[in-house]
Amino acid sequence: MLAPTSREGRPGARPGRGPSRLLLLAAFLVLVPVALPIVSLVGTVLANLGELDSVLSWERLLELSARSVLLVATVTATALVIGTSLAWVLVRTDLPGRRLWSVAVALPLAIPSYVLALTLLAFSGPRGLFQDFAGIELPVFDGFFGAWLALSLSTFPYVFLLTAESFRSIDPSLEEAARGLGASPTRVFLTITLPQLRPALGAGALLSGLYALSDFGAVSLMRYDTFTRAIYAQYAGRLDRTPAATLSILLIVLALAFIWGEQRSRGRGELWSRTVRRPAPTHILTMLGRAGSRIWLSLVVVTGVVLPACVLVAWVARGVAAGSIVEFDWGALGGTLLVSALAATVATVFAIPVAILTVRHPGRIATWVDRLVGVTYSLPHITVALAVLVFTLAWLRPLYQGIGVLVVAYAAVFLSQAAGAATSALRTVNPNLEEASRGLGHSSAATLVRVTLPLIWRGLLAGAALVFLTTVKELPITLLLRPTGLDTLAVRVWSAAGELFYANAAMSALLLVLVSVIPAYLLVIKPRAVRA
Amino acid sequence: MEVPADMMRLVASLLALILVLGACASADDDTLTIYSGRGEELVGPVIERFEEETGITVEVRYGDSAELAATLLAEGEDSPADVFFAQDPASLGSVAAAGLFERLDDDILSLVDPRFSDAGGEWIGISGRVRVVAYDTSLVDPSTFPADEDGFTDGAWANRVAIAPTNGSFLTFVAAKIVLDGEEATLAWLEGMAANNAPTYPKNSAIIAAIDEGQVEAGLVNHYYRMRFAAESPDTVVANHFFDSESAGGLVMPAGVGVIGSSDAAVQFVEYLLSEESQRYFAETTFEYPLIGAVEADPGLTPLSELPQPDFDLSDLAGLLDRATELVAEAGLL
Amino acid sequence: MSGFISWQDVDRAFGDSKALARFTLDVDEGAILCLVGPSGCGKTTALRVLAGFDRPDAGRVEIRGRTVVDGSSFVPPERRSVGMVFQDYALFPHLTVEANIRYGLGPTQRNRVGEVLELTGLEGMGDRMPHELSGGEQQRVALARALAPRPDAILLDEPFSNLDASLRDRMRREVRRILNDAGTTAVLVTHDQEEALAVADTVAIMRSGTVLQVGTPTEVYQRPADPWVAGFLGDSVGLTGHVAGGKVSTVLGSFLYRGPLEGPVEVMVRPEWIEPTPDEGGDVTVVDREFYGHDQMLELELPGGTRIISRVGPRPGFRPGDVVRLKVSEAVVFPPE
Repeated sequence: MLAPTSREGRPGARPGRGPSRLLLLAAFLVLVPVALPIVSLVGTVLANLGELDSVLSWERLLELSARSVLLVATVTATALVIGTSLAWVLVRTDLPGRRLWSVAVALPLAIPSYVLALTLLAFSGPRGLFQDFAGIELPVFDGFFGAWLALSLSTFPYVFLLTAESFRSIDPSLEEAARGLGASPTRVFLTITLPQLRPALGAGALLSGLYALSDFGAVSLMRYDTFTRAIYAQYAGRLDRTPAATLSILLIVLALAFIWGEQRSRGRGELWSRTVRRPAPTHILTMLGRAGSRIWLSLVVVTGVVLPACVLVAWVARGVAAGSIVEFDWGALGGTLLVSALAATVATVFAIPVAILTVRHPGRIATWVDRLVGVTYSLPHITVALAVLVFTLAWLRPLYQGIGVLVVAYAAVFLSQAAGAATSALRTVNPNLEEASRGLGHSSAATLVRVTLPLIWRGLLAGAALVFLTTVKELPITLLLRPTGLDTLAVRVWSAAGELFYANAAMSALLLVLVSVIPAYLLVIKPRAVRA
Repeated sequence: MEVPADMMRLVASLLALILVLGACASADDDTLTIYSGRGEELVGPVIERFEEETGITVEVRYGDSAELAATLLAEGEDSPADVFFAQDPASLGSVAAAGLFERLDDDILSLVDPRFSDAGGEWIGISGRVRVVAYDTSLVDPSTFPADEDGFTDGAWANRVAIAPTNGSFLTFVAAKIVLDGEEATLAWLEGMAANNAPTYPKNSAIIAAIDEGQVEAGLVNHYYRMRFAAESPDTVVANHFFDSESAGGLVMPAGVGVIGSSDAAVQFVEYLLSEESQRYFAETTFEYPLIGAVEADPGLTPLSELPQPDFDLSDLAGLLDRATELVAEAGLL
Repeated sequence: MSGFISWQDVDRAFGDSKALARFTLDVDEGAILCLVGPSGCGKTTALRVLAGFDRPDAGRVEIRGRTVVDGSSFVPPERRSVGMVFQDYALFPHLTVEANIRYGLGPTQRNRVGEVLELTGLEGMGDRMPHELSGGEQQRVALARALAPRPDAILLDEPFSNLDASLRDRMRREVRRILNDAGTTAVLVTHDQEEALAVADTVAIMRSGTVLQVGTPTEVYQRPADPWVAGFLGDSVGLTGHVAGGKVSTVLGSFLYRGPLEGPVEVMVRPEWIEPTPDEGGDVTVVDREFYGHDQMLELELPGGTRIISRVGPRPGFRPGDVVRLKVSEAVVFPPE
């Protein structure tokens, strides 16, 4: 889950009270679409388990697993380092222009990883754009290096957003106490600050790692063979869809192992999010520190945002120069806005019962709900799309190819992001407030609407913004489940680039980034607004 | 805690609303629904012209040919699709084999050389695409190319010739090779390419871009990608080499169309695709081979009649897509 | 010669508001000094400047004769050898009690953990996590952790404010005992004057960034430096008086006065210094009474209509309407405002 979660004695829990049957029912209703892909996959696979090694040899399966694990591990580690260091510089130091930088480093969220891969490939290499402009020949950014670079740049903003918020909410007296006990600033950071960031780092690691595990576009363009590519190959190259489903189950196993590992690595200490009485002390940067921070920030922003944008602009320019007609695709823009806004809304509504269950009634049910939501988030989108497609065809024929199914599928897959944000927001709401409202004669529903929601709406908005950003660039689910005739920018980018209409692809990609600036801004300013 | 009844109602009604919305959004009967395995960039303009000229409203579902074929098979008789426009004969063949296509009239079938249509008249070819070797003119001398694809398993070509083993057009080529050379030889060839460390790319377009950027020397692709790329990058170093032999590696693969259910609009659409106007579009804009006699191919292309072609029945490809994928996987290319 | 700890003319402003203004104070070695004042008087800033968490705008701070901050030098907090006990304890929530205590110790000082656990009465709790402890236990851990490295001084910032009333009294005695046993110099910041008087060897009363008075609890209570200090430290009765010929006369009668003042003055009397005796011939009437058990508070009306309060033991005979006679044991004289 996105939100930092704490362990026993967590804030906001109502001990001694089980969840009501209706809350459980609400959560159950939400979980039906979330669980559907997994259930359908498990069903398919149980029927065909014996054929696994007839799809791919065991050696090949092992090799692909190893490659996926290597990629996930390195991308996660890199995203943690980049995201945490940027968050520290932008939250805890006096570097001028922190707010502008913060929006800039969140922007890679808006660039689909396959676009990033495409632009990195066009930029590097013996005849890449860099060579054209600077005359210096770069090695090709492909293979493992390319996949690692593209995915690290795509995922570090998740870590940045989470740790930035965490840096703001750490009790400053903990660090002062450690300094007072004789610890150097470095030791304080390693032994006190980092453990306090642990929930945020864990959540960031999950988001980045699961993203890297399920990504298909970037790894295939970078020609780094992973599990998703094998699944896609089985899916694209066959009319029989069982082999793809069978391979997906192995991906689920990897995802579960990752989630389990993250949960195991949590310590037994309490990691709480208490209201902060005073802001954390600002670190005054030296001239050298300031210069170093600026170089680091520039490096990340240039490779993650400026460079892709420049390549896109260059493509548009090249196409126009060669006489191509480049047009704004208003239909695709409208389609993107429509489905993303709907997905963000539905995911946020879905997130409310999940958050109430997780925060107010921690226990075994909540833990499993948590896991289910996380696993669905980690599934390759192609398998989710297939499962939903098959299910709708068989059981919900009137809804087949409707926008409703598409939106619910998005919401199910991205629920983790919305629920994470809602959960951490709800944790800061004292349950006594809700009980006071009940004591004053309001029903629990009225309490939800009149007390709880007004207190957590900023958190919900942040979750919705994140879901919006992710939906905007989603591809496989969109391709398979969209109503006939509905177009989105992501689809336009993918199909135009695939047919070598780079100018049009680039124009749609630029529009996509533009559309995402507002939600990215909302995400970055949220914690400040809350404090004010 | 008591029942958050209002919240429940909120969630339930929202779900219902979305589902109903979705149901309403499904295509109604007056429109012509096309499942297109060909990209929107390529056929979108043709479809727009068709709408303008006939006044028929068209809804298009774009996707991968094999994916749409699988979707059609799953949907069966109830499919909302009226037309299936596919990149490759294998996908068309699978749908034909399931009996979903309506047989086309003979006067339509007679427009196109029967080599490029289904023998049973289930679907008809619209435009021709040839498998070629795209290469970097600054690095490769085309006279060194082997006579057919089999020569690329020679150690001299190690690491130099890219393939797109997960791509539909490559898989159709493998299926054709199975028909022409048998499974054993096909597997041996795939294993030879794997042993030669042939760089693998996800798509034809990625291979062309990689050659242009100097990342790989040559690759097995369809002929028109290079020309499309040159439309935006006129100075590209990428050129096409046509095999001068009757092998699967130089086969002409038509993109084709079949009609599902009885719909006049669908037949009208097929006729429109075979009109001079559309055929000229395919020749000039997408750089494919037009398949009606009245329209000439791009002057830069070897004429269709001069391309050596094996004797080959496209209907044999039906059902071989899965087998092709299995062989590619067995060779270790997936 | 300055004290063991000394602030000298320290200034610290946050924007327009001056937290410390030429703040000057010395603390003797081994003493427990309480810095007391209303909220916002700058007492916490004085503590943070001493610990090194805040940097003064001007002035100098010394610990054990060593300058830790002045205009040109700044010793970072980790090299000042002061232990801090925070208002919220700031126990590291991810570490056990033992690991919290060990945090400030070098590798050769591990046996010190057992010593301070015993000193603070926490034997057997080393393996617990902070959130598993009660408020009082958490406070002991915070104290143990601060004491473990044997710092030159212990600083306590409102240490009892998070405890409930009954626990607070016990912990005050406990902390005082622990600090005395450890023999450490301590500076304690509080807004609660009762707490300051109960715990301190020396009390420093602060207001608006400056020290108004320093002294033993008895001195500052019995001989406050001005009427504001008098009112801040406890209940008081303020009267106007007149000094003439070695005597000060008030509505409560005349007292001997040996001081420099002449003419109109202000006089302060603590309620317990006023002793009423039931006397039918008296001219003072009991108006109201609050009975506390260990003592009682009387509201009395003087002949001119002035009302004053008096604190007496739980003796009978002071019902509203009863008439009494007063005897005042002492009084403090201030110059007129």
